[in-house]
This record gives sequence, C-alpha cells and structure tokens, in this order.
Amino acid sequence: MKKIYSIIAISGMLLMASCSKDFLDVKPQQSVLTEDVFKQMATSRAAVNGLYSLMQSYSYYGRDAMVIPEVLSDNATRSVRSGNRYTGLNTVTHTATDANVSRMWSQMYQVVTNTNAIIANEASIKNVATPLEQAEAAQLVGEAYAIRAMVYFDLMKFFARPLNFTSDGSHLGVPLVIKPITNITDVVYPPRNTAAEVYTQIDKDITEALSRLPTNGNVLSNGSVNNTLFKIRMNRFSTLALRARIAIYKSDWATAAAAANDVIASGRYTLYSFSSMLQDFRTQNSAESLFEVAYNTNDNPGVDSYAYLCSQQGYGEMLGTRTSMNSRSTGATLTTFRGLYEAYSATDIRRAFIALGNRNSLGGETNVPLPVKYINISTYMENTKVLRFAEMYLVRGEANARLAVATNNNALLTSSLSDINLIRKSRDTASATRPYAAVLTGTPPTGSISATAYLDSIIVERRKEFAFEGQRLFDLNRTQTNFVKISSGGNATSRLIQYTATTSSFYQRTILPIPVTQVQNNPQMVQNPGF
Amino acid sequence: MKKNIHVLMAMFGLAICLLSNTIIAQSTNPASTSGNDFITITGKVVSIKDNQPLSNVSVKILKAKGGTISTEDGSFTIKVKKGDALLFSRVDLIAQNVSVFDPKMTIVKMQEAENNLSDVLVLAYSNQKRSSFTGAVSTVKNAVIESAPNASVQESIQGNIAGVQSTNASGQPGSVPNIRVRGIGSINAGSAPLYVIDGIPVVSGDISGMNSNTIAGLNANDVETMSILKDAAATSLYGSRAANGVVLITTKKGKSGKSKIHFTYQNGTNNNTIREEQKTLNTPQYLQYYREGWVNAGNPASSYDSLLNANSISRTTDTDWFDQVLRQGKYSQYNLNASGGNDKSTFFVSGSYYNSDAPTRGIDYDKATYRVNITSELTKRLSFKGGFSGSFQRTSNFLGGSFFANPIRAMYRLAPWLPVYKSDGQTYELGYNNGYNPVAVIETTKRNAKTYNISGNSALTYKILKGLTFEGSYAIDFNHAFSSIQYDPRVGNAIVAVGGTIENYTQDITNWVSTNIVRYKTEFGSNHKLEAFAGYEAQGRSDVDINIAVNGIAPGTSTAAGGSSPTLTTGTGTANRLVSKFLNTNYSFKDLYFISASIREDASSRFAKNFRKATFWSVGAGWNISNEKFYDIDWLNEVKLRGSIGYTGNQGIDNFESFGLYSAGSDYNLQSGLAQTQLANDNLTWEKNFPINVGIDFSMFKGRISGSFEVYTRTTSELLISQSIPSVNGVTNITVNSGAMKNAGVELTLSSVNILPRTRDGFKWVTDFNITTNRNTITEIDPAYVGNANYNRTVGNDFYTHFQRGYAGVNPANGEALWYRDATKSTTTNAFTTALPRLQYGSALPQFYGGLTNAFSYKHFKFSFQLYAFWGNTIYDDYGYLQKTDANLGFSDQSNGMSRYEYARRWTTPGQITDVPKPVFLGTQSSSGSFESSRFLYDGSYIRLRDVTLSYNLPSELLSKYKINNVRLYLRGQNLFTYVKDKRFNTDPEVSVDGTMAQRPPVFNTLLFGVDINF
Repeated sequence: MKKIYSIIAISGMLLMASCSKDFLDVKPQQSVLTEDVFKQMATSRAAVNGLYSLMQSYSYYGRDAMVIPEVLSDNATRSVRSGNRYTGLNTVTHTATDANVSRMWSQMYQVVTNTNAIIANEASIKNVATPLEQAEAAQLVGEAYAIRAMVYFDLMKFFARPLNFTSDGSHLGVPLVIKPITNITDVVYPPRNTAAEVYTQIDKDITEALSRLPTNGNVLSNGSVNNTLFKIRMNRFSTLALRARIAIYKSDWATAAAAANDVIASGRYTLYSFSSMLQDFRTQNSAESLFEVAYNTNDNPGVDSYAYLCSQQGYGEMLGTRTSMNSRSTGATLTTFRGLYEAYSATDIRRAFIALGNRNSLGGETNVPLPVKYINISTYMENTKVLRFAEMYLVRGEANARLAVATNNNALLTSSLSDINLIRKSRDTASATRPYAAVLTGTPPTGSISATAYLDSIIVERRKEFAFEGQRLFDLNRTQTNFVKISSGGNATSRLIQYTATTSSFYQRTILPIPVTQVQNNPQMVQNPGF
Repeated sequence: MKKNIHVLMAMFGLAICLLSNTIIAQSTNPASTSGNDFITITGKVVSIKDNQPLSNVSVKILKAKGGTISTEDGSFTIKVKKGDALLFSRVDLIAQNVSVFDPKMTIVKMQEAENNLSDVLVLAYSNQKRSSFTGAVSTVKNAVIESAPNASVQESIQGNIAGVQSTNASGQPGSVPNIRVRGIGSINAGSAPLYVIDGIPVVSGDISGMNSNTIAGLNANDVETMSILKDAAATSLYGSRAANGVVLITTKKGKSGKSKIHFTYQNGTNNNTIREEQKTLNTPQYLQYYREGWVNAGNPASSYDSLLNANSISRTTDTDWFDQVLRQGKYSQYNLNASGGNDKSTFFVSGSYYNSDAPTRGIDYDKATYRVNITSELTKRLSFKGGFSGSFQRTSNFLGGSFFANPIRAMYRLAPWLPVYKSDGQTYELGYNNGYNPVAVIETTKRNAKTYNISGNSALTYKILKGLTFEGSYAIDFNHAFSSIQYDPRVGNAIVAVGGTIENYTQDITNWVSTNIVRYKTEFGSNHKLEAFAGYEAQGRSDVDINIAVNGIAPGTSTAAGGSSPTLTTGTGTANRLVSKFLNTNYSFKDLYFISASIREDASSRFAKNFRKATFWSVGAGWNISNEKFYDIDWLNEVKLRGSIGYTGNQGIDNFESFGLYSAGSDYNLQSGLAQTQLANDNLTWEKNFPINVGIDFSMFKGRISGSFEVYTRTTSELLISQSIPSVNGVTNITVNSGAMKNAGVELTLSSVNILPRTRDGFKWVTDFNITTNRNTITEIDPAYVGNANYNRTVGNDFYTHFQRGYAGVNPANGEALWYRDATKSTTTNAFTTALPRLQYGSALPQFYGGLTNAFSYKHFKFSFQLYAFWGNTIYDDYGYLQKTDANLGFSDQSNGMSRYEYARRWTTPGQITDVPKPVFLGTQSSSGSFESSRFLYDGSYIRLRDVTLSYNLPSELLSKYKINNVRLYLRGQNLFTYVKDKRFNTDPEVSVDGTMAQRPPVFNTLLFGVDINF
C-alpha cells in the first residue's frame, strides 16, 4: 500500500514538473501577430483585402462618406420622423463631438495606417513572393499607395478647406502619417500639415502607385489575372481616374484632362445606356464602374447601410430636396433655394433615382423626393460606386472648358462641349436635340451661353449625375458657390448657407470639425475655426 | 463598570432585564450544608435549542476565586458559599449568571451567541477559527441564502455583509448583479470579485450574450458557507486575481448518522412597483401639454385642432404602454436534498427547480440543478473528497438599451395616441417606432439563452506523518451556452426588410485547475502552535464560440437552417493559463498572539513575456486582548485586535492584450482579410493592489452583543487602462499600466440578542446590523485616459463623479429652461450652447449603505424583516434627454416621455417656481439631440424593506406520527416597500454600480408562500 501513496505523491510532483515553460505560450486564434503578417504572401494579400474591408465601414464608403456631403448641402435633408441620425449635420449645427464625424476620422486613418504597413514592408513582401508572384507583390504595394492617396484626398475634402482657400495652400490640411505604427512606442501626436503638403504627398502616392500597378489595368491574384477583381480593387485606370478627380480640386486642369483622357482611351469602360441606367447602376461591377467597394452576403451592413437609411422600408430618414419643401411655418422663405428634384428635366433618366412618395411613418412627409439610388435592403449586396466612367467625361469637359477660358482656346471649348453634351445626351432624351453651345467672349448668340454660365452648368450637370454619391458639397466648396440648405422636409425652419459670405453663421460649417477627442488627446492638433 | 452595564441594559428595555434574570430552576429548600456554609452543587449545562449537553463551559464563582469546566456530558460539580452566584460562559454561548440552585440537579440552559470568534471560517485553501484569524472575512449565514427567492446567491449579499456593495441593475431574474468588495479597484481590468466554489476559481458573468449569470446556476440550498474575503491576509493566496476580493463558496457535505431528507417548496408572484405618477402621460394630458406647447410657440390656440388633424393624431386612442408591456409575474421553486453517512463515508445529494417570470412581459427565467458530494476515508491515512454538479438555466428576454425593439424603451417613450392594433383590433399597427410595436415585439420575438454547467472536483488527502499531509486535487468546470434568437419577419422595419432573422450563438468554456498542497501542523513547547501549507497550482481556461445569423426565414422554421441567406458565420477561440506557487504560515502563542504570512507567485500567459511573473504576499497579526491575564473589563467579554497588510494583483484584461495583432474578419469579396487592431505593449503587467486592514472583534454583555469594526485602505496602482491616443495611429486606444486609485472605508457589523428567551419556545428578538462607508479617490490618472465623459475622472474625485452641464431650473418669468454659465453657478443662460460645458455633481457611489435585520420568534412563530439603505449617491438617466423633450420634436411618435409627476409640475404661469420647463412645439431651446444636463440627474438615496418573512413551525407532536422531523410554513416578501428620496424618479432606484438608469427591465417585488419539510 505504501507504494501506492508514494506514487500518488510523486505523480503530484510530476504534475508540477510537466508544466514546462511553453505552458504559458498561448497563441491567439483569430489574429495574427503583427510581426508575422508580411512573412507570407497569403497574409500579405489578406492585409490588402483588409484595406478594402475597412473602406466598407458605414463610417466611410458604406454610408457616411456618401451621406454627409449630401445632407450638408442642398441635395438632401432629413425627415421630421427620424431616429435623430445626422441631426447636427442636417441643421448645419454639427459640433466637434458629432459621433459620425469622429468615427469617420478614425476609420479613414485606420485605412491609412494599414496602407503604411504594407508600403513599409514592400521588401519583405517581395522577398516572400515567388518569381511568378513578383508582379502581384508590386501590385499589392501599388494598391496601398493608391488607397492612401484616395483616403488623404477624402480627409482633405471633409476636414480641411479646399486647396484654393489660400493662394499657396498654406492653410491647415490634415496630419500626414506615413510610417507604420505597430508598438505603443511608435505612437505619434502629429500636427496638421498644410494643405499643399498633403496634396504633394497625394500626388507622390499616385505616382508610386502607377509605377507598381500592372500597366494593362488588370488585377492579379494568386499570381494570375483575376477579372472579377477588375472593378473592385484599385488598378491603373481607377488610379488614373482618381488622379483626374484630384487634379480638378487642385485646379490642375491639364493633368485632369490628361488623366481622364487616359481612362477614356483605355477602351475598357462604356457609359450606361439610357434605357437601362437604373438597373445598370444597381448592378455589381457595372459597365461604368471604375472602382466600387464591393459588398457580399457576408458583409451585410444591415441597418447601418446607406440603402437602409434611404429606404422607406428601413429608416427612410434621408430625403431628397424639392423647391416646394422651401416653406416654413414662420419667417420668410428663401427664394434662392434650388431643389435637387427641379434640377432635372422630366425626360432625364436620372430623375428616376428620386421617387416622389410619402414618408412611411405616421405623420411623415407626403409627396417628397425619396432617394432610391441604393435600394437593396434584403441582401445589401450593392457595391458603393466610388469612381464612375461618366465622371471622366465631366472632368475632361470641365478641365478643357476652364483651360479654354484661361487661354481663350476655342478648340478646347469645342472639345469640352462634346464631352458634356455626350453625358447630357446619354441621360436625357430631350438634350439630344438641344445640345449646349457656348462662346468664350462677347454676348452669346441665340442658342448659346456664355463661358461662365457654361462652367456653372457643368457643376449642375455634376449635381445631376452624382446626386447621392457624396460629391455635391465638395463641388460647391471647391467652386466657392453660395447655396441654400433646408433642414427638414418643409415644416421647420430652412437655413441659408453662404459659403463665401463671412457674415453667415454657417460660413465655416461646410467642412467638418476635427473630432473633439483628437484635439484633446493631441496637444499639436488645431481645431478648424468656428468649432 | 457595573453601572455602565445597567445603563446599557436599560437601553434594551425592561423586558430584557426581566427575562435575562435567568433563573431556570427553582430552589425552595436550603441546600445540604457543610460546616462553613458551603454547598456542593451538581448540575448539567444544556443547549436551549435541543437540550443537548454542552461541554467545556466555564463555571466561575462570581466575586470569589474558583471554578470548573463542564464535562463531555455537560455535567459539573462545584462548591460554593451560600448566596454566591455562578457565571456560566463559553465563547460561542451567551453567558449567564445563576444564583439560585436546585440541590438535586441544577440544569442550566444556554443560548448560542449570534456571531462569535469560535466560528470556523472558510478561507483560501484552508479553514481557520475566527479567533486565530488575522484578516477580514464576512460570512453570509446560510439561513439567509437558503430560502431566499433570489435567482443567484450573490443577491443574498445585499444588506447582509458590510463592505460589499451589491446591486441589481436589471429586473431580469438570473442576470449578473454588480458586486464590489471594498470599492472600485480598477478601471479597465474589471472590478468584480473572484468566485471560488469548492476550490474551483469558476467562470463568472454572462456567457450567453443575454445577461445570463453562470453563478446563478448554483442552487442556493446547496450552499454551506459563503465567505467574502476582503483584506490582504484573506485574499493574497489568490495572488493575481485577488485584488477585487474573493467570494468563497462551499457546498454542503453529508454528516454521519441518520440520513436526512429535506424538501422545500415556494410559490408566489412577482409584481411591479411602478407607481401611477411615474407613468408617462395619457392622451388627454398629452394633448393638453402639446396645446400649451403650440401656444407657447406663438401659434393661436384655435389652430391646434387642425394641427392634430394634420399630424393624424387620434384623440380617442389612449394606450397605456405600461399596461401593455408589464404584467404580474410568477415565481416558484422546488428543492429536494438528502444527506447522511457513516463513520467512513458521507454523502449529500440534491436537486432543484426554480422558475421566475418577471413582471415584464417576455422576461422569463428558470433553472434546474443537481449535485452530489461524497467524502470517504479510504484508509487510516488516505481520504477522498469529491463532488459533481450540473445546472441548466434558461433565460428569455428582449433587446435592451437604445434598440427600437426594446419594449421598455417603447414603454417610456411611445405616445399614448398610438394604437397597439389596427382598426380591426387584431393586426399590429406597425406605422411607428420603426415598425417595432412593443406588443408585437413581445409576442413575436423569441430570444432565449440556455446556459449549462457541469463541474466536478476530486481530492485525495494523504497523511504522511503526524501533522504532515499531502493533498492533491483536480477540478473541472465546464460551461456551455446556447442562445437562439428569432425575429419574426412581420415586425420591425429592419427585420421585415430582410424577411426575418434567426441568430444562434454558442460558447463553450473549459476551465480546469490542478492543485497540490502539503500541509504541516505542529505544536512546540506548550504554548506555540504552527500551521503551514505550501502548494503548486496550474490553471487553464479555453473558450470557443460560434455565431451565425441568417435572413429570409421560411415560415414555421425556428433554426438557422430555415434561413435563405446567411449574414454572419463566425467562430472564435481564446485561452489563458496561470501557474502558481504559494506558501502560507500561521503561528500562535497561547491563543493570545497570532501571526500569519502568505506568499504566492503567479505566472500568467496574458502578459508580455518580460512581465509574466509576479509575487504577492501578506502579513497579518492578531492579539486576543481579553485572553490576557491582566484583562479586567467585565462588560466587554472578548476583544481581539488584528491587522494585515499585503499586495495582490489584477490580471483582468483580454487574453492577448500585450501583443501587436492583425485580426481576421476584415474580409473582402469573400476572401480573407487582415487588419491591424492592436499595438504591442512589451511592458504590460499586473495591476497592483495594496490593502491595509485593521479590525477589532468584540463581544460584550455576556455575549449579548457581538460584532466587529474594520478600518481599511486599499491602494491600486499601475492601473490597466485603455489610453486614448490620436486615431491617426490607426487604433484609438492602447492598453497601458497607468494611474492609481484609493479606497478607504469603515465597516461595522453588530449582532445583538435583545431579548433572550427563558425557554426554547420563549420570545426571542435578535438584531443584525451592518453599515459601510467607502470613499473612492483617484490619486493619479493619465490625462489621455478617456472614459465616459459623463464622469469627471480627475485626481481627488471618485471614479463615478457625475459630470454634466448644470441645469439651473426654469426661469419663473417665462418658463424657459436655464443652464449655468460658470462654475460658481452665479449666472445662467437660456441658450444651451453657451452654458458651461460640464459641472461636477455628486457621485454614483453611495455615502453609506447598510442593512438592519430584526428577527422575532415565539413558540412556533418566527417573524423577521430586513431594511436596506443605500444613501447619498446620484443617478443619471441616460435617456432622460431623449424622453423629456419639452415638445420640441413635434408630434413624432416618441417625442415625449415625461412622467405624470413632472407633468403636474410643468411651468404654466409667470412667477411659478418649478424645475420642469414649459413645452414649446418644435422649440429649439432644448432639443432631444444633444441637451444632456443635470436636469436628468437624480438623488439615488433609498431605503427598502428588502425582506419580510413570517413562518410557522408545525408542532412536532403532530408530525412524529408521520416520521417527519419538522415542517415550516412561511410567507415571504421581497422589496415590498421602498422609500425614494427623489420623487422625480420614474423607475426603481436600484441601478447598476455606475449610477445609470438606462431603460432596463425594472426591479420588482416578490411575494411568496413556502414550505420546508425535514424527514
């Protein structure tokens, strides 16, 4: 018997010994240690997928980056029957504590830091790539550059004054963070760079991207061309399209025209046909898509989706504007208000993206424009269109028109008219018989408009084309256009926003504040004036 | 000194004096005398409770020298002078003077004291007598736990223990209560105590995602002891997990002798306590309120009717949403256990079923439990102890918080003119609240969670030599949760849009611990005792879960297979491990002086490699002053002074928080994706906790009053906090060790036998009282720590100091709301945006809390009641600014959730002084979007009649025929009455520890009938 007890005692001691050193080395199961990510091609690819996934967030291209420029401009307003989403933004009384604004800032910078890591690990990725995968390795890094350029450009549009706010771009932009941060010892508390500095970095990133992305525009995956990724990952043409759009904001007309021309000349994209535009727009990987953020069943943004915000079967709170909404129970109406609905002629196919109807809620508005550009609230599988082919004609048209005015060049004006009229014709059957004609100088003859009026009409054309796609506010801002916004569907006060008139209390509110937390936890961060 | 006694005795009233004159036996004849007037008295000391003999009772002659001690059978013999009185005493009994004796046989009946130093305390890895223990431990009497109708044993702590704040935020039975031992000790690493059941540090908290509570799976009737370890001497053996105190629970074991069977049954109702004036407005009130708002907005009263028409407001519909959402709930409990054994082996077996349906529709809870405990002496040297238990809990609830689908939210916010049904009276009206008609939600949504626990433990003890034993034990605690959520495709816009949703979640947690201990016990000299044990322990826990959701539900199906499109399919796994060595020693000299020390080294997988190991320790000392020879205070029978100091830790962070991580799940286009989610911190380590405790245990007036008084501090440093960094770094927070907090407090526990019965059936009155004050102070905080902006977490403040814009009431001249412009509150403004951003207001932590229990018994009846007070705290209504909108949202469906109490106090006429502003239709002065202020801050003080029990024991003569030992019938009520200081409150004042009132199911009262039968 005694033996048995000794065995028990000894086995107890053995139990102690069996707990060797690696007993405490427990590995995470749904995460990868940061230092291991770029040691394999598979995880490097996954890191690039992660960039697009972060862009899917409802705080970025999933919803807010599309909604805020609309609801803060004259295109959209919020229903009186609401769950209080975008309350401050809709009344242009948004503050630095606005949760949507704060989430958007963080989301965008999360994309930035993830691109930084990929860019910084270029050598490591190339090192683990097989010879067959070298082109793909370069492309992965190229995508990171392109995306970083896109995010910084978005950050600038939302959080900083347009580049032309000062003649040399010396006003505040956003902080440039371009080094990877993996350990708490890497944490930075950066100041805001000037607008010019940020745009210089953006241009540099575009150039770096173009030097790495496959020149034929294809997207490689697992070593070979994968056509299903052509429109949902950044490629050479979408990067050129981005360059074209950025150049417009920089008033760099020549670059804009050249880049847009490259995309058009690629021959890989076509405009939607008039008859099927509604369906085509809502189709994944549509003909016009240069870059869209893809949503699959597993992404399922649900109630946080853009479609859910718009749909009367969902929250249904976002409404388009129409001139008749411009009535108020007290005070004078604002006659300078231009509703989105009225911007279209009856024959414009794009007006069908706004359905006149009733708010689906007891006591809701009746006969108001309901946005139906994004409508899928069953599977939510609607890709967010970030860059669309039509924009290339509008960019080239605008760039050439502005160059024409600056250099008094009639040939460029003609070229511009051909681009703008192409879009008008393909969207509106009536426009086919009434093309724009414009003259550079003098009194326009019958059927023609002045060059200035023509330039304004291009901005209106952009409003019609990109309604609810998150471009309106920025077109107004960069062109320093006065506009009137209304803050509800008719029975509350409307509000006038005058961008250039410094007397307006809303003057400084056509951009977003730096989130209050970012000012509080970073001594170098300077708030935008007026917040 | 004597005078003092009399003065104090007088305070207990004449009745006590009469009864305490404890002459049991009559003495009519003079005793047989010897020459010098001495008589010899023989007698017996027995317990008043069951007439069992009491040994070791000291029998002392008062005012003279000499005495004896009662023998095994309780008998004693002593010579006394005629006229002398005898004092009978023993530490655990109430002492008695006897001055008249029966010459043949004097029988002295003695009563057990309520709370005393001879109690055996259940401590970390050992048991110890209270008299020799140097630390602070409180024990909940198992009588309190056993028959309470609470779903979890944790709820029995409230009001019964000093130094432990226990609150229930939710009226969902079986939900997780907030238990805080000696204040708030941590910011991000958790402040809940460690729970150890039969030696297993168990999984506590919610594992189903539906506010279920694993600890509630323990059958209260199985609990033998529940001790709460509070200071370093008590907790330091749990090292890195001890900082927030330890709740140590042991379950019942059988006793050798005749087998016993115990059966209990309880049945009752759960009832709401919401008063009429706390409800929101009815339609006539609502319409009147809006009429005033319409006029106040500058509109003619004559156009009000057309406004109602334009907004399709029904004047005839008057829905009482409280009636629609609330109900009378049911409660019942069955418990059966059997125990017994012989000299070698014992057993205990139990089974129970518990059911409690909350008075909120759709919130139901039930559980079933099973337990076997056995002990066996295998040989002279080897013994075995083991147990096995299983439990099953089922919880049904609905979405809480700010969800449209939360019926409680709807109840407080929906307008009364909204109908429940369409005009046909049957079809749900879904044209408001985003389609979430609360009645439809309650009746169609099925959300339930099942939580299972199986645990087993076994231990072998081997006596190696005299005084030296080895113990090896292994225990496993397996938890499984499965929750099933079915959202009906007809209700709720978001659900209708996707054709219904089914979600399934399942989690398995395997938790094991292996402990080896060597114990040594010796005495040397005649006065020295030494006990020591050393141990080695390894523990591991691994969790896996699976979460799936599908949309597009086929009619009639209830599982994920019935869905047409999966929207979520995920699963995760995580694990952590801990390896420890520990040593504990206790030395005592002559039962006078005590010294204890313990040390433990923990190594945890959670921390960065360089900082895995840490050593924790404590030192304690005790002095039993009343055992000293020089001690000579008559009325203060026992005094023991003790103190301890030590160091414990808190490792309560996520398992991989020190590593730099890229997380999976950032998928794109159905391909896997990784994104950076966490920065590495190579220096992350434990939170450090330094408790100091000084306590005094006493017993006075012959044991009639006993208690303890404790003064403590505990300082926590290197707090694990989530520090906010600029999000340009890609993450918004990093986990670092930074900051410090201090808790200091005083605890007093008293037990008093106010009226001592003369006989077993006599009238008895016992009072238990405890009170606690604790002051929490932040002593160092990282400026980059960003917590909840509703609290002002700066140095010198406590952790839950409320911080809001200052609401200055209503301008009597025009009824507008006013806010303070400056910190001195000297100027006000009617424009919210120009108010001073935030002002400090009170704290969610109470100034004091305590319980007072009085128990009376007479013959077969027993009556007891407990009052619980929670005083001097503030509560913030998170949703107040959304509910009380002063008509500024117009006729939106949830525009106004003010209570009738506030309605009656609204501003209506110039000059009126009130704090409820006038309504202004579509006003801009206060808007629901961002107008949070101290207007929604309440005084949280309350006193509650927490428990009332009236019981009757059937006469034993009646029962003996049926071989029944005892039958007890009782009526019991919980939360029957609550005094709330702040009348503006419109829900129950018992809220979560952070002082937020947040649209949770209200805490309710329970009324029940019960029967206990012992065979």
